[in-house]
Amino acid sequence: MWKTILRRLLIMIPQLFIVSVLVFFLAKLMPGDPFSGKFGPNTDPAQIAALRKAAGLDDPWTVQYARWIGNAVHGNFGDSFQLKQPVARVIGARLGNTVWLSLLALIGTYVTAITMALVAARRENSRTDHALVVYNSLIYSLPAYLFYLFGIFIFGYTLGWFPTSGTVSADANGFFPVLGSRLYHMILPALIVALISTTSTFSYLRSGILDESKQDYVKLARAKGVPENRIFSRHVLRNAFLPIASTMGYAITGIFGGMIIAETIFSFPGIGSLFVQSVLTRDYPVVTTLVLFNGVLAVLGGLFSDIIMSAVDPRIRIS
Amino acid sequence: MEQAKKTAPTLRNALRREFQQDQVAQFAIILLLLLTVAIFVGALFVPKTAYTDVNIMNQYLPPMTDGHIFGTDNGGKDIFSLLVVAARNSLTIAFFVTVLILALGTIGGLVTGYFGGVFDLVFMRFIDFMTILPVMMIIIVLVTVIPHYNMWSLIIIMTLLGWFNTVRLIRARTLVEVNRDYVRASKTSGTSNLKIIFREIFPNLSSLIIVEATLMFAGNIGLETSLSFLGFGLPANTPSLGTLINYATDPETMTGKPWVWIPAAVMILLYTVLIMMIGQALRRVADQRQSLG
Repeated sequence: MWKTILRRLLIMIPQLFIVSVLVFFLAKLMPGDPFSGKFGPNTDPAQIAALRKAAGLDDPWTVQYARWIGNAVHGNFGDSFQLKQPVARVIGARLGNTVWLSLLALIGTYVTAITMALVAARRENSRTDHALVVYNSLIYSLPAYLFYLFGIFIFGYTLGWFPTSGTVSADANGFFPVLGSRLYHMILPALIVALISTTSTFSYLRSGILDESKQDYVKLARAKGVPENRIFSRHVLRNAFLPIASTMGYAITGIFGGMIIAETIFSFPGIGSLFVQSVLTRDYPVVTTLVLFNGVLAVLGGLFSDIIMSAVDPRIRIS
Repeated sequence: MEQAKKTAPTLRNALRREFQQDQVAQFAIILLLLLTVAIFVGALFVPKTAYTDVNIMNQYLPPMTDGHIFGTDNGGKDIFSLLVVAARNSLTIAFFVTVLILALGTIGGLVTGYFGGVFDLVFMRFIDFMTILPVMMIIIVLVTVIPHYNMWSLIIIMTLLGWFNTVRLIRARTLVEVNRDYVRASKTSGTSNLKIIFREIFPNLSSLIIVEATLMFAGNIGLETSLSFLGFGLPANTPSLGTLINYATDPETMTGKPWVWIPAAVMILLYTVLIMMIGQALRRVADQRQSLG
């Protein structure tokens, strides 16, 4: 077990290195440098050149990369062009919102997907089963933003059941009213994200249950007289959950990435909408840091998935 | 003799059989073809001025006024003309991206799967790594920083960041085929590797590739319109279904002037659902155990 985790951690090091190099070159592609916009048209170009040299922008890229990654490790990502604040602080202010929204959406996804899979697999080929399968392939093929738009159009504006932007209403005071208002603002986006992200969990679990039910050990348990419910919960479900456990790490990063569109449509101040705004306003330090952040998160998600997998399925450890 | 000819398991026969058994798929394919032809022919008759000229006097006309079937947008431009041109652009991009991804993915998957070895190992590590990256973010960044950005840049960016799963799928199926007797027999009798790959293995994967192509086409319409919706897709003067839906980000337009964005949204819905219906029939062609015939 520990050997597997250690080996997996070793694989992660080159992955993180490649991610950082990729992001570094993306950042180099972006126009502008930390001095852009700080000088008027009358500043002597020679003076700017001297400043650039002093800041190390003329060094070979290996030196620049080493310095950049050294700063990044210490949490120093430069200053935002727009907000004139350290990037870490700009992102930190919004990170919490996205984490909570993602968490809510993730819980919603698993609850819905697992319920649907249990219902569908219990009655294979029934009308309910077919309907659920069709539903899950529909939401998989249709672009997500259509659901957000129609959701906000119908439940936000037309029916007025939910707020259509922001995280908290201005007139909420005290701990519980604020908490309530925050949750209320997150319900609609989280619910829609949850309802349209069920496909992979649903289909893995459904086919997992159907496959496991046909195995010999189930027949044996049945022949021994073990009650159906117990066979299902103790034997079939345990094995059918394995592939889901392994995709959990990817699901977390996936839902985080999917927030770009959801947060933009719901005017939700998280890091997804921050990314879109920063690209539109050409605030490159923020953009670079967010890409790096999501890249690292993706690598960690993969690590997390593999560790869960080796913890729940001993067969993985051998190979 | 006649019987044997009829049931020969060629791709064409399998396709014909599955579509004959499935009236929903028949309906979908006919409607899809009609719609696509209408869009591409219709777009020829839309003058460029229809989606570039601004006429403030005609701003936000409701549907069915002054000969504007779907009304007009904030610049007085006819929504119907915009819709036709936007649909053509979105379909064109999705088509090229799909074709390019299939070409890259199929060749990459066939070659690595067939030859295996160290190259396969390294290549697949690379692919595994690329699939976890935040692709949407990287596309958005590339779209904004690339100089001389145009429709072809978008197509190339979407292709280069979108072919990883296809390569994986084709490689996995190639690995199965490589160990089949017909490939071993061909190898023993000295057939060249290229010929085995493209004349013998490739035809056996063709139905799988067709299924992959349809689903990917729908997915690419979704991706391109998402990007255009956010403002990072097609250049400003080239309408896309996504840019039309983008009008809905303004709450007043979303609720008060739904004719501006709903037609484009319905168009995407319609295309995706039709492609899905066809995809169901095609999946049965690729996996004959599910055949209805």
